Amino acid sequence: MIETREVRKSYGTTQALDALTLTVNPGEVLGLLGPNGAGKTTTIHLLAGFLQPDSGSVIIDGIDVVKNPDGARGRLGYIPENVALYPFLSAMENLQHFSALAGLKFRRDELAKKLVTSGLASDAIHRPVSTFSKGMRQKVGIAIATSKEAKALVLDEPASGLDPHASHELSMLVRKVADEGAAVLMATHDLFRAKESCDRVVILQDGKLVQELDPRSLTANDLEKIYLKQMESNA
Amino acid sequence: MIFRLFLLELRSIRSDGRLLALVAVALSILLLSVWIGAESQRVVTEGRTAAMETSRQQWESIDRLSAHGVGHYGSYVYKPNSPLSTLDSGVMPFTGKVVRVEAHVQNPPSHSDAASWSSLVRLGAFDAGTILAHLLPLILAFTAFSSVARDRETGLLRVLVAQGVPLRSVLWGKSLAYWFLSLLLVGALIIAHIALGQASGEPLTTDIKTRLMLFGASHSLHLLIVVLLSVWISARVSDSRSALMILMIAWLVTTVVLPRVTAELSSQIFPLRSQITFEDDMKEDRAKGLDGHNPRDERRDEVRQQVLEEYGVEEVRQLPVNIGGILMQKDEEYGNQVWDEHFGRRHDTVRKQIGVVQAISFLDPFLAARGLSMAFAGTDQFHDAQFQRQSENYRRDLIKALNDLDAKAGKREANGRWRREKIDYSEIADFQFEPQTVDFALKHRWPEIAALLTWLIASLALLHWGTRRIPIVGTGR
Repeated sequence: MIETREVRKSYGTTQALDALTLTVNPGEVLGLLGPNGAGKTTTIHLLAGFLQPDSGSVIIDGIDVVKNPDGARGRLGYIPENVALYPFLSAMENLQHFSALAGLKFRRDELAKKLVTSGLASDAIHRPVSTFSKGMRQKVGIAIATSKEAKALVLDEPASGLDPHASHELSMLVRKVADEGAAVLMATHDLFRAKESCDRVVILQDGKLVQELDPRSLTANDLEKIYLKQMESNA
Repeated sequence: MIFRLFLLELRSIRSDGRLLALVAVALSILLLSVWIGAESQRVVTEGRTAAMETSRQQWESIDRLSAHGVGHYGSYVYKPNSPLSTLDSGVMPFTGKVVRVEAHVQNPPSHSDAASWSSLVRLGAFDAGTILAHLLPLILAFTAFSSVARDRETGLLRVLVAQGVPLRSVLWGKSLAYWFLSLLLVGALIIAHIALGQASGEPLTTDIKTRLMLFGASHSLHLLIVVLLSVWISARVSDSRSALMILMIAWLVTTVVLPRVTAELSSQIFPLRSQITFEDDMKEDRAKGLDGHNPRDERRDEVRQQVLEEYGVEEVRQLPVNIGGILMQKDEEYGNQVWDEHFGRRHDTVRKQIGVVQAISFLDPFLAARGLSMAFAGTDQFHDAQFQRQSENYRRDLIKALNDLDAKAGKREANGRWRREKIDYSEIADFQFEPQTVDFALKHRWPEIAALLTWLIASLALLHWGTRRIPIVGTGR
């Protein structure tokens, strides 16, 4: 489970998050929508323990991230908007090293399978990632995060840079991870992908949760209209 | 985990051609300095050996009757180079290498490299000790300044931390990688030194081995401190440019500003008399007597009376010895007391000045590393003072032997005149310098060892417990 309770975070005089309370249950995918500067990335960074809240609590699978960041991270998978990797290593070596650093050991065929499952072409597996496009690096990042088989997965604009086919594969993968029991929180601008893969979506604006929706009861167009209306009403 | 991060950082450095080039340049400069040092040592040793042979030949061909006259003729003693001076020349280029030993006068060492207008005057010393203590920290700061900041800027740090890697492990992995490079450089330097020494037939004694080991260890310790602090600053400061600026300022302060301020401060607190004043004061004391109430002529009369009483005679003409030699020796002994007093005071002042530097080395690890480097190379002021002390002891033994010969080598003739015998001066042994063992260096340099260990403990503590406020992400949302 992923939880934030009354979380506040400010940068100087700018309030990034204002009493944000969220819950993502195991097996659920929550889409976090909002314009630039709404506080999506701050939320993700707080969940990953990269930042500390000014007040409130952040909990991953029952572990307080502030009190025990290393313990919480052990139960968390993280996919950033731009996945940074060791450029001099191949995709396979990157996955091997990052998995080993998380205390996981896989055979080479298992590593290759994980990369292919994440959407990477099999002929790219042994190439240095310095030759990869952003989308290809993103797929390696997805493989790294999902190979932890974590109880919680947080994704920060994960489809950024992916082609439509890869985006669709990502949606399927996220759905699969949730179906296996993980709680998934995905910050995104992509309303179509949010509808495709999320059980719930929440709209964040100026650090506040302003609306919660069930995307399965809406069409993609309806979702877009509601989102835009919400943005205009708060402008 | 740390070992894996260490290997990844090494591969990262290897893949960055610029960093690799910087390390290669450092290695080349170090090896070049060892070769230049060895070559210069060879030339100096050849010159010194030739000069020593000439001096000895001149000494052995002396054909004078008066032993005291030979004392005035004098001889020369030559300071041998420490075998490790090729690694760190220390204060040796600025101190004299030759002492003229003669009766009545304690000459200071002369013919320093600096006084001979060598390239040293124009460019300063180029040796491995200087490069390891000055240049390598700069190169390490240049290579390590972005080690963590770069990973934060690219986002790699976030991926690592999200995988459950503790920040301190990241910092440890990076620090060990940069330190490993330093160890490679120090190791290559020592191997090159041993190889060149073996090629030139230089014996590798246990003392030299111990000194080499301690020389390498002290520099390695200093470089570890530099690496730990560089990596920590790279992590603690929000961007790599700021980290570089802080490290450059720290390098400038610790290696350029503070050492000069310390040197100036120590000489202000404990001023040292100039060589001219030192010699004038000695001359004055020798002439007037140590307490200023003991003029030379009175002392001579006292000694003359004592000798007459000892031999139970009333006149000098009746003595079975040449009283001239005895008087000269007594005067010499008085002069020795004067020298001991003045040299002792001077040495005490130098020790106090070094004490100031040693105290400030607790604020500046560079000072500690520099002091230890010179001490283990056998080229610091403490070692240099030993040459002065030993050359003075030799002078005393030589002049005493000559005065004794002047007093006793001869016989009293019936007319009361003293007839001198012919003396074989080649029987008087040449100067043999007894080098100090490494214990001598350790005894005088424990404050620097304590300072380096204090810095190491503080740096390790910073890396271990100082990660809480390290930013994992930049300032953006």
